[in-house]
Amino acid sequence: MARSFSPITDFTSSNGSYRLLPFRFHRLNKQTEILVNECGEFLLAPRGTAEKIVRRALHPADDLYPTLKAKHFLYDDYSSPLLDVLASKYRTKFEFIHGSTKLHIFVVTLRCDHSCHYCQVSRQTVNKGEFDMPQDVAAAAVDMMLQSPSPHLTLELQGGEPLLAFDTIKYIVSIAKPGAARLNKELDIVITSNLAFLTDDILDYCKTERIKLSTSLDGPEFIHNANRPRPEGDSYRVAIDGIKRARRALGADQVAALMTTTQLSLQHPNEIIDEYVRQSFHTIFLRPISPYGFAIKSSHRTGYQMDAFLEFYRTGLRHILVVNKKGYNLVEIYTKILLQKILTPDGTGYVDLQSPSGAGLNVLVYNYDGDVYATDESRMLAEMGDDTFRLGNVLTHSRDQIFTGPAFVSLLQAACNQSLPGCSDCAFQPFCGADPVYHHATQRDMFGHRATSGFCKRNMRVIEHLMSLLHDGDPDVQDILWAWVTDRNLAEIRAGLPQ
Amino acid sequence: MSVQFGHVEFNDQHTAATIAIDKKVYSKPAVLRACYWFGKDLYFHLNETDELLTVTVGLRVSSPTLDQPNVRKIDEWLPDIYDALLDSQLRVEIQAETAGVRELIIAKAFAESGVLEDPPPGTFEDPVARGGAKPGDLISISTNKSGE
Repeated sequence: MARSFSPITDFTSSNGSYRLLPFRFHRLNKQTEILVNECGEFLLAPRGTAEKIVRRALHPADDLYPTLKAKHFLYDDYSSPLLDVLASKYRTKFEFIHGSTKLHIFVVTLRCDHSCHYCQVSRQTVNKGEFDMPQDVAAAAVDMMLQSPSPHLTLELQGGEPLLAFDTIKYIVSIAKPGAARLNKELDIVITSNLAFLTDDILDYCKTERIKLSTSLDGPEFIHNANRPRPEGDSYRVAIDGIKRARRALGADQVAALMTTTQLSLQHPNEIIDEYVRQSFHTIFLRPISPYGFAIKSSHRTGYQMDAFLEFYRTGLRHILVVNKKGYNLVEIYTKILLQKILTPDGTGYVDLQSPSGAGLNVLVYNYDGDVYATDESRMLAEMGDDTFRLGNVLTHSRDQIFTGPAFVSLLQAACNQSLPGCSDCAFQPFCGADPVYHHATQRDMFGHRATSGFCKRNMRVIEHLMSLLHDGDPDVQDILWAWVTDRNLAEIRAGLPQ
Repeated sequence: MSVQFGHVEFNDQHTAATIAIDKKVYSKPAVLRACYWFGKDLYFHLNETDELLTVTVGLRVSSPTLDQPNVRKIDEWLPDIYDALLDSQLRVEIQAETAGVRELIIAKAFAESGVLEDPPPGTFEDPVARGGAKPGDLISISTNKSGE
């Protein structure tokens, strides 16, 4: 028996009427606006499209109509509800909530040999052992970490300079690994270090225990040395030497670097990027300085306006794209995170762009003295005398008490951008986050005022920039961005190789 | 002496303007939301009568300073304010029309997590289940009975 498709008229609204599904919109420029539905699916359309939709000026014969239906911006008397599909997409975006806290940061010591202008800890001199984490605190913190329901935990050991308290690290690892194994949890361990005290014994230990290293590289020698002063004036040489030795011992993929942006950095985006290429890194994170801790005290050195950072970011991203076009695979991490949120069904594990905010929910910080903080920035605030986000102490509070205490509850009330003033209307809400700690630090208000928020301005402008690239960028740029999102390189994208 | 152009009245220095807004065209939530986004540069005061919302808008900084060497006159802000009013009114209308569906999507999305006391009532055509169920049922959240 012959089978045929139904006629086209069967797929259109019989009377031209349609109903709206929840969506938001944003004017990108004079020609284009962005429409984003509740699940983060977006559409770049001619300006005036949102008004046309709402005023029922759209006709089923319009080119845009089927796309708006397919992307869940409207439905008509033919459309099947697909409500469960929307709910499923919505739930997928929030998968990061599942399992609760995954990242556990242990501040094993406040001691450090560097005196960085923007240092975000109240650093202590190298010989002040009283600022190391005692064993009873370490044991209680490991116990609290293991109580997290997440089947996959990351234990980050930082300081100060954590290698100055290497015995403490060894003790923590010695109880955390068997504890995680007993509970059938996966455990990744990372040491965040300036590598100045990296010995061959420590490298052997890291190899045996499968511990990764993360370090700081702020750019070429003149920037790194200026940003990270040491008495010997050789922080760059020490970092590069440590990176090379660590790669030889552990493998290149076990060593990562992060940069911090200062006033000096702002003038040299391309030089910083070229340094990352020179050192054979394939990722770089163009991140602004945190407005916390010593960064506030030293604002005359590191203070800069968000406009200057945005110019730095745009110039840097342009240069990174050129580097990629030449065949070197270099991913800008902030761009990648945002594009994953924009172009894929998934959410992100990046705490700063989560809603509900990842503070506490996805990261906990255990200070050397046992105090528990919602984020590392919360701890920095406490070092400045503001303990708003001190959730408790591992020696005196249970995990339940931490998560039901007044500090966490008040933080949680401002943690969802879905219900924050300004954010609730914003088309970029599904791509952005809520950051109560940032807004408390900068505006003395966890809810924050979006019109004057640096967080809002940065994300708004960066997302607009990425949307422009997606809309108008040349095919090479679009291939590069898609390669970043799908963890492939440009050659693989061009060859059509599967993910 | 002030100067009046149609429904807008300026003060002598052109540092503030008073705009009369027809409530049949723009709702109060739309006006408030539009004003919110200009809070960095402008201040607002609203008055309400039966038919009108009267918005007084002024420059926070009216003379050039070292921090802000270029100051836009109040007149130059008006096109942006009118654009924002239009956008806000559209947003309010979209939200009003789609609120029920949105709540149903979210309730369904998280229903399997076990935090909902009952499966969400309603259908796509009747998301708040006007046909019998209590409106509050849709987002009634309680402690998970299993305690997990």
